[in-house]
Amino acid sequence: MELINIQPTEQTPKVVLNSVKRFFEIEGESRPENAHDFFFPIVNELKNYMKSVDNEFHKDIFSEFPFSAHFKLMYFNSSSAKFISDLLFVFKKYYDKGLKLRVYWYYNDGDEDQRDVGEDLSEMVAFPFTFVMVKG
Amino acid sequence: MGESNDIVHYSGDLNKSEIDKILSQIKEKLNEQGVDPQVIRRIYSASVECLDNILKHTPKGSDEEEINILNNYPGKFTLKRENEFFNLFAGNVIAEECIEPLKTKFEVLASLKSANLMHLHKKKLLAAEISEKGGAGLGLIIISRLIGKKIKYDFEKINNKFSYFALRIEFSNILD
Repeated sequence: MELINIQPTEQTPKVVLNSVKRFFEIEGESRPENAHDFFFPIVNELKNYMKSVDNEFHKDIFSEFPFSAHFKLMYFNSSSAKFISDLLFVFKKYYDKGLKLRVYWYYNDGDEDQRDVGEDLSEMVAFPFTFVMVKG
Repeated sequence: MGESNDIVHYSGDLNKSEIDKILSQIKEKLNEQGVDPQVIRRIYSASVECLDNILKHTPKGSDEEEINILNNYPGKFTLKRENEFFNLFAGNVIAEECIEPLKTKFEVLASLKSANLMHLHKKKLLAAEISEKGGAGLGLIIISRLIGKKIKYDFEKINNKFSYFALRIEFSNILD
């Protein structure tokens, strides 16, 4: 079931949270006119979902089939950065509680800046990311 | 005299749709010129922050006289290629009370080495709150980290209430 399904625009990314397939994805460019209005409902929905799976039943499922979060942000502005870190802190909180989940950070081949941004965020939330280089 | 080319030049009232057009033009022209994608990303990131600042921080004017003054000093944004460098110029009117806090911010950023800037960025990101104008106060830190050198700036007094704030950011076309 898709708890979040936001289609991309020129200024905002595609965002999907699927409870059946156990994945979260944010993809594209993020420079919304009002970052709070765009991200606040997403952060809330993610918090609610994570709260709903914080139990032994889901921990068992996640241990076999981990939840994955895919950050495919090719560009985001400084106001979006604050909310992206909020999303990561939600994942970190439930990872620390024993839910098996992985964060994948995508960057274009040769774009070391974008990889560095991911490394900074990973260090900041004290949560390991898997880095995925996108070719061509 | 070296080669000099305007990539984009804009002067006037900015709105979201104009910003979209400017940003598309920057991407398109830099790609056409075969600029390294990482350099494009740096220029693009700084451009978004500068355009956003012009949009959010230009005063609206509370009466006809103020509106006339503001109309005489429109927001400006120019990106030029000068040989192996790209120069970004951005300017807008700001309220007098914003000058000192902004100067202090520039001075602090200029005094920090790369590792300290990174530390400050992380600290500010953790503590960031979105202002009424929708900013997180991280834009200048991000630009400083992108260019790895001082941001040049100037304030020109218009009257007791307003000044014109101009900044210049230089990007090398050659990566470190």
